[in-house]
Amino acid sequence: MSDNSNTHDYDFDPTGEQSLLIDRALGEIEPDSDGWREPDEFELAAAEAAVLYAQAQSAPMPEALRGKLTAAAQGVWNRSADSRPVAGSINPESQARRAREAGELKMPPLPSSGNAPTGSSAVLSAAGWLAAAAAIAIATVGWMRPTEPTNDGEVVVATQSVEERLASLESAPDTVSGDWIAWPAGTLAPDIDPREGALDVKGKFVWNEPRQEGYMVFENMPVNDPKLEQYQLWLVSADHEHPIDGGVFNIASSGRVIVPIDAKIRASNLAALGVTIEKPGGVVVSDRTDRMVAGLVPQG
Amino acid sequence: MFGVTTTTEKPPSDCLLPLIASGDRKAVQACIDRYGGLVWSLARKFTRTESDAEDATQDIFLDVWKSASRFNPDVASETTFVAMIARRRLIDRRRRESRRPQREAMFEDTVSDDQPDLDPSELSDEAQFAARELENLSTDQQRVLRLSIFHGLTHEGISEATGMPLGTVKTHARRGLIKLRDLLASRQATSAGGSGGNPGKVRFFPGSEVLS
Repeated sequence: MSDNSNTHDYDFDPTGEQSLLIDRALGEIEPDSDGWREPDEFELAAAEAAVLYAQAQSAPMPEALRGKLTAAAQGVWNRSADSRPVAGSINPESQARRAREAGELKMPPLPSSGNAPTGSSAVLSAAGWLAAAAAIAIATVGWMRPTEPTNDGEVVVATQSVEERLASLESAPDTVSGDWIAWPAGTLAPDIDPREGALDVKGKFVWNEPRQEGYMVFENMPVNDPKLEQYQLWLVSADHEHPIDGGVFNIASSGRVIVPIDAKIRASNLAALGVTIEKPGGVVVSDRTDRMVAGLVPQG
Repeated sequence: MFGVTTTTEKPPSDCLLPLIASGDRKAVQACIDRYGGLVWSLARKFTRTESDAEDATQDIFLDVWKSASRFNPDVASETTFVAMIARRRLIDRRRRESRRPQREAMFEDTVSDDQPDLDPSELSDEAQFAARELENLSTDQQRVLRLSIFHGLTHEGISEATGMPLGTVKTHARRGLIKLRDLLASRQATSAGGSGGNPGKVRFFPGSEVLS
């Protein structure tokens, strides 16, 4: 880069508004809103400069990462019923009906594409899950007979081999585990008296970050009709803005069910897990409105 | 060198994001191929470890795909849009990272303040032109903007790395970005005026436009 010491600086100071926009464009201040914002000219100028710098010092993306991205892209499409990577929605009447019929579980909001959290809000989002999870006493889980596999190819339920893998993972180094908790629809978890509000949906999760392998174990999870709705697992990572898609699954019968966690991208520093009910095929980003169970991941 | 759209005029039909928004699966893979180098290069500079860079790259692409429908070719080129989203996510990660204990850097070149970033021989003609606009900034302004925009340092971090007082860093950053915006805009306005372009729309690089 040449020495331009003779170049004249602009001899004026930016206005207050310009200073704010520039500071935001350079990441010195957080945006006013967590939602999408249209870029201003300073942010675009910074982006253009970034492209230029990157072009001059580009490095090839590792092939392994390319493969992960390709797999994640496949996951996006495989779980988007309308084949578009947009947030799904659930008919409010359908939600109300399900809530009435099942009286079941409600989750704190997951970010949607139209209101994606950034920065601290993402942490707060995860913290909301954690707070909700921590607010409820953990019930001891009794084991029940495994259910039979469903036939949609996406769900693996308790077979001997899965049981063995679960047991093996539980004894592996770096494995964390915890119990599922559940709370009624329409009730904020911190308001729940676990002695009165605890639902009979129980279970546990097991997760090993180095191996990126994990399982969920459910008991008494309501059976779903795959033609109308499916369960979808989410992993809340402290390192990611959005909860990570952990796969879609069905519950064919109540009882003990083991579901492998199928993180679409590498999940690190896991903070919590959650389950939503979504349209068949799942969604890319949950609209956060339906029931859930959540597990609290112990932090080392 | 990755294949990006800054160096050639791209008609809207070459844009991938509208295709992704409409459900074209092949466009997603093409998006990885086209912008993987750009995103990876930015992520690698902003993050401390290769693992962090990989996580960030995945986050960025997920956000790009989810935001595909928001891309407006009248506002910015697709490359700039992707870079803009990448910077947002990387800045967010930097904020989160700053709240956690620092880990040992694995990338030796994470911050190499005295290393020239722009080698004209490595750039296309158009990018060389844009690089010259950057060189119209003072040396200190270039230095501060490069450390901020490409290396992801905060103003405070730049102050520590360079020894400049924090207030001076802020002044260079603000004046430098204003100047860069104006230089790019005036150059593109001239170019657009000479070719009968819309004077109300200022193009930074070929294939990139911002409203003046």
